[in-house]
Amino acid sequence: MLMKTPFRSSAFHILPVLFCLLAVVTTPIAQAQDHHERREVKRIAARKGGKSITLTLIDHGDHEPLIMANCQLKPLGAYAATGLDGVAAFENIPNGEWTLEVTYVGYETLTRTIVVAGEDVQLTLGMKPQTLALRDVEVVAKQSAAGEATASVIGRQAIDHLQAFSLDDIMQLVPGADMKVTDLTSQSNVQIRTLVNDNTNAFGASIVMDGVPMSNNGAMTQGGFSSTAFVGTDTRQISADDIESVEVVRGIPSAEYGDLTSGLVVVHSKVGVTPWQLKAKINPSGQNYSVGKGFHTGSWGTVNFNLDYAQAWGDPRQKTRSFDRYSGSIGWSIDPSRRFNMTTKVRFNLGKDWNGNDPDAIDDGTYSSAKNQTLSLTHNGKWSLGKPFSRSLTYTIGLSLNRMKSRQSAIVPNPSGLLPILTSRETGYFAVPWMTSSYAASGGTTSTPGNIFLKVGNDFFIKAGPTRQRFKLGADYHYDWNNGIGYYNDDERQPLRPNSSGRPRSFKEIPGVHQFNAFVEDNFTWQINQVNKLKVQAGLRFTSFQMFKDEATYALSPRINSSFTIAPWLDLRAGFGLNAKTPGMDYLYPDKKYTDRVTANYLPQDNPAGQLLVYHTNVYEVARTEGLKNATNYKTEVGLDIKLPGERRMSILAYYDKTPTGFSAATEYTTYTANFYDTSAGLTPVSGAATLIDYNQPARIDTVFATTGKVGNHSVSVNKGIELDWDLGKIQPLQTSVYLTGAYMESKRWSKDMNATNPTGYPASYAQANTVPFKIVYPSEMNSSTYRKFSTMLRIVTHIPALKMVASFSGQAIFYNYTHSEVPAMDPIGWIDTDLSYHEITPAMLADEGYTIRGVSLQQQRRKGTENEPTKSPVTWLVSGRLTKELGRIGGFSFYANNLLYHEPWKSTSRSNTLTQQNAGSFSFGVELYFNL
Amino acid sequence: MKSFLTTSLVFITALGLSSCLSSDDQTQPITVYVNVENPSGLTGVTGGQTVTLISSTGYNYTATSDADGLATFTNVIPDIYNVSASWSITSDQYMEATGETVQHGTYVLSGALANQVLTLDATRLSLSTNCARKQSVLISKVYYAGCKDNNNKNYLAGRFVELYNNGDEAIDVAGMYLCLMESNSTPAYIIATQSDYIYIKQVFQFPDEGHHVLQPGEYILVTNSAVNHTENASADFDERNADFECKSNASNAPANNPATPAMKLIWTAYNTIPNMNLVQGGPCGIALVETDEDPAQWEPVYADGKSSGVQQLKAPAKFVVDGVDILRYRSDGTVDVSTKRFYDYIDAGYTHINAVNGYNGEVVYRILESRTDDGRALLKDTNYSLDDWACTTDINIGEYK
Repeated sequence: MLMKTPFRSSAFHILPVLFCLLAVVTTPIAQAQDHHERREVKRIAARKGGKSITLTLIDHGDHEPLIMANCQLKPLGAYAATGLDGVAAFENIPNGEWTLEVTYVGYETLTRTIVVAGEDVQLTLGMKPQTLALRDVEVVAKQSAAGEATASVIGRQAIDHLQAFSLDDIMQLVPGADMKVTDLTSQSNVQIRTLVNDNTNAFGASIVMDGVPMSNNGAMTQGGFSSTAFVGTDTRQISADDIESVEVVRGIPSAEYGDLTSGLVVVHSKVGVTPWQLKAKINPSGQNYSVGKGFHTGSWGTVNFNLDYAQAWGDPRQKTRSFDRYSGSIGWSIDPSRRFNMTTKVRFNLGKDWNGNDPDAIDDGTYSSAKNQTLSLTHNGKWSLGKPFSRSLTYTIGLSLNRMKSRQSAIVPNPSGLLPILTSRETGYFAVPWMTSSYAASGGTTSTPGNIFLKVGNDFFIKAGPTRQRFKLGADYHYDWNNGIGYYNDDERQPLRPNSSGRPRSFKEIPGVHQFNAFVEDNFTWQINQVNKLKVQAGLRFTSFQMFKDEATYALSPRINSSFTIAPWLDLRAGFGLNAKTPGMDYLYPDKKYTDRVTANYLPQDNPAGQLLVYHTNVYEVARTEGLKNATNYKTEVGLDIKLPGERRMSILAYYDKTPTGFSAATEYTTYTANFYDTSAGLTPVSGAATLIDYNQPARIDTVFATTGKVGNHSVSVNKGIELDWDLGKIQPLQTSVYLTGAYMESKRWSKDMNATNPTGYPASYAQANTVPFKIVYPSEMNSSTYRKFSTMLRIVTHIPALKMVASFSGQAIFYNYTHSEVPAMDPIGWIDTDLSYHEITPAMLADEGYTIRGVSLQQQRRKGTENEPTKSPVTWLVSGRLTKELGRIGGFSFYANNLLYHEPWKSTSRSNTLTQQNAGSFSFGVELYFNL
Repeated sequence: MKSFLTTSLVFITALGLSSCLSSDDQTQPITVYVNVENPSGLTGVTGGQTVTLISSTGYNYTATSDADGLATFTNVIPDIYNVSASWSITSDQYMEATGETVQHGTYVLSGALANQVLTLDATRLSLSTNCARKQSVLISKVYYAGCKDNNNKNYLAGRFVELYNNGDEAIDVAGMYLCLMESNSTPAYIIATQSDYIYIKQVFQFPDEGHHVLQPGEYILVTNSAVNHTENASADFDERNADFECKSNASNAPANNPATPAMKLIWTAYNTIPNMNLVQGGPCGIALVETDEDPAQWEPVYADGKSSGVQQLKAPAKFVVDGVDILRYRSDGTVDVSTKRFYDYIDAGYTHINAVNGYNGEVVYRILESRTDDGRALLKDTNYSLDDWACTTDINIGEYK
């Protein structure tokens, strides 16, 4: 019996109270400290020679002060937020040239170079509201700067222009991603730099929402390891209308982020004063409405809220599935002092999936539905201390409570006319009931994962000569649990899954998982001379999981991103980093493995009373997966950033990602004996009465192989490729910008698990007894699957500020699409006997034509390999168009059409003459109306 | 007025264009010549044979061959035709034609050509024939489709194979083998490339207990589950009186009746399937084999050109007593003849159900040709299943029509 962690229940009740207390208590403390610190900072500044920068932020149009705007001084990492008067102050700033970056919801990001030269600096800056009347708009993803993690930054204007329903839609702006049709009716996860929907890749994609990772460590699936079970975070649950910006880190992330393999998506939601914003999007497969507003509440800071409703039904011709999403968020930002700022956001999300019969079909009462409710809280605090080794202190608190309920009503098929109802949870012999025909059943699964996240961080900088170093130090702690009751049947006598994989399992019995991480990072900048500059982001992250337990995992992940400015127009960038994804509860504590086999099957048709069906159940418990490690990912990148004349630029980047320890089911055997009884021994029929069984008199004793259900680190994946991001500049007379992105990608998958299987050609008597004489073992890592693709996306953006209109056309071309499954010739290397002893097979044995193992010819086990020709798909392309038009300050509308030329040709692949429709289902269109009141 | 002029102009133009059509382009009846060739080594039996042309669109012609073996069809509408001929000779005629001494019985000469395009430019065909001893014991029904149960869910437990004694003498099937042909989506072997072997996936042997001696007109029912399936699926069959059962203790196997003797499993390609693996959507070829050899010793092979996957048993085709080629019915309403598993001398045709995935309750059955004076059914046996077999949902076990 597993111990229930006492922290789980207590934390659950105490935390909400703690959060409220924290908010109330920190306000006066911070205010008191503010007075004290002001005096203190002035004293330090005088002593250290640092100067202050005081800036007043106002709206460019009406000159009203902007409250709670985020101000950052780069590369120092100094942080400040504007107060009620729109004033922010940086203290103790050394002499030098710094970059001020100011962001505020609904406004263009403001960037200024500030020179501190022995004097305090005072500035008044006007920020411009985002509008299509401005000269610059960003409706495509922006590349991150050299020397930082390779990322695509997608702003609000790009999200609006895309008419995204959810985060899932936004991901298509990333280089190498294909255009997609909005479809909320199926779960969708983040797949970065991969061509195949990979289990570990999805599980290892981290989504960080307002500083808090959306943990999937507590998510559980029923039964054993499944390579097809949904394990990633469902991105369609995240409403796009509450997002201010998204940063998709494809490369080596900052050491600040962890518990990931494939990539990182950092989502910033809206915070600050905004007008009333009403949005309505509709297309043939769904609709989405939202309303939001940011208020200023005087000394109590600003309050934001957003309500969102989306409904989708997929293919409008079908009425067999639907998805409804209700989301809401309320945020509160306050800066009790100029140095201390807090933002708290509470979100609620309800997603409802439904699958059922067409209304025109016969209603047999079958359906499946899933309801996913999430209540989450994020709380971020920043304390601008301005001290030499603590410029700013940050902390984050996150709490997430989920309830996922799936329900199913189905007619359980019974094609064989004999369906045993297997419910035993212990090893032994059991007379079982059975069904002879299909039957109606209902049940479901309830999973309630929860997560607590706590993080503290400290930033400071060191300036020495021409070098600048900004340090980040921090630590975080996660705790994940699941209180769900798991899978259940409404009637255990008529279960939904009446077989070996249908045993209920309460998720409450599974221990919660603790994770502690610490990180340090140095952002080093060395301005060698007027031209040459070196930037290095070097970090180290320590990850520990289930600390101090036998199943604990630890990881040390060094990461480095660097760039060197060779010429004013050329930056060279390179990076290397390790990432570690912890196994999560599902992989670390797999379900018991149930193996059932017929022991007595006596069903006389002329004596119903004597009918008897006995099963032997073998239960193997992998209480915890010993030896399971983190899935470790190695990323290497090298690239060039070229500035071209006319504000054109180009980035070319080559990457190599390898995950040699991905999660997969492990081939580990156990053997056991099970008796078989028939009328020759063990069974005694009695006319008109129950058949007698003598368990001590078996007719046969079978030795049975079974897998243990263990999870291992045997899945290997390699993703490599070249990404291109080319801003071809603006054709001024046409007011048109041209962007070309593209990627050549290759994904290769194989397994290093033991390659064992049943031998071929063994006597039929084994088949009759449902046993195998032994297991034959082949070399591992020889079979593989390779996928390659070369695609480009050309975006032509025409922006006419005078008309407040932007139109874009995107042309996607997939020039090369290749898949190959390699199955080479291989000889067996060993065999496993029924006592689990391993026996090597030598070349001499293989050379002996007559060599047999347990009477089975060894020659028959030699595999010659399969000549699988690669499959190459023909070139495909499609074009989409989008238009956004502002109607004064009141709002505007957008329209889009995907595959607007309706190019859906029928073509065959290189391996088959069968014609397949290209771009099938890609034609779609939609419209959005929005109002700013 | 303007619209009248326009309409008139279009009409006159259309009339003019249609008058330009040559009468040679129109369909004309043709004369077709089919030369019926004797099997090699067999002479002097040509002439007087009935040859048929049947198109999928419903045209049907018959002609009788002359002394040179030439059958002439006049006024044939050009189309795609299946061409066939079949006739019987006595053992005396056989010995006279071949010079060989054989056992007493009837011999069938048959030949078939499938999907022949007959047009003005293609009117001559050569029809080669094979000779086989007319068997007394025949495969008479195969129920492989399964059906829907009383809750409209798939039901497969009642699938069976029926054998029938079509001869005049009692036959003992004990020791004979019931074989299921391999059923890969792409055939494991191409009959055009060889003619001596067939690939089979399962071999069951009739035991020498139970009802194993068939009197003329009697049948044997072999099933996976000898129970009354009509209780679960009204469209299925009551098989409590089945003669033999292919038993299985696998977890997903149907109920076995202890009172029904077991077929002996000799070989199976699927270690987890010890009972008949009848594929509900087809292909589902069945062969009845008689041999003194031990089939378990025949060579297991992968599909031609493959070195992995499932191994089939490479069986000498000469031991096949009777075979019916059952092919998969495709969603476009056609059957892919290139997936045939049997050579012409075993089954020159094929049969199928009329559903892509099965579960429609159809049974493929051998057609009743005639009845003896005492009412005993004589089933059609020309080695050409397109003629010999049909499918229906309206037939019972032991019923012939």
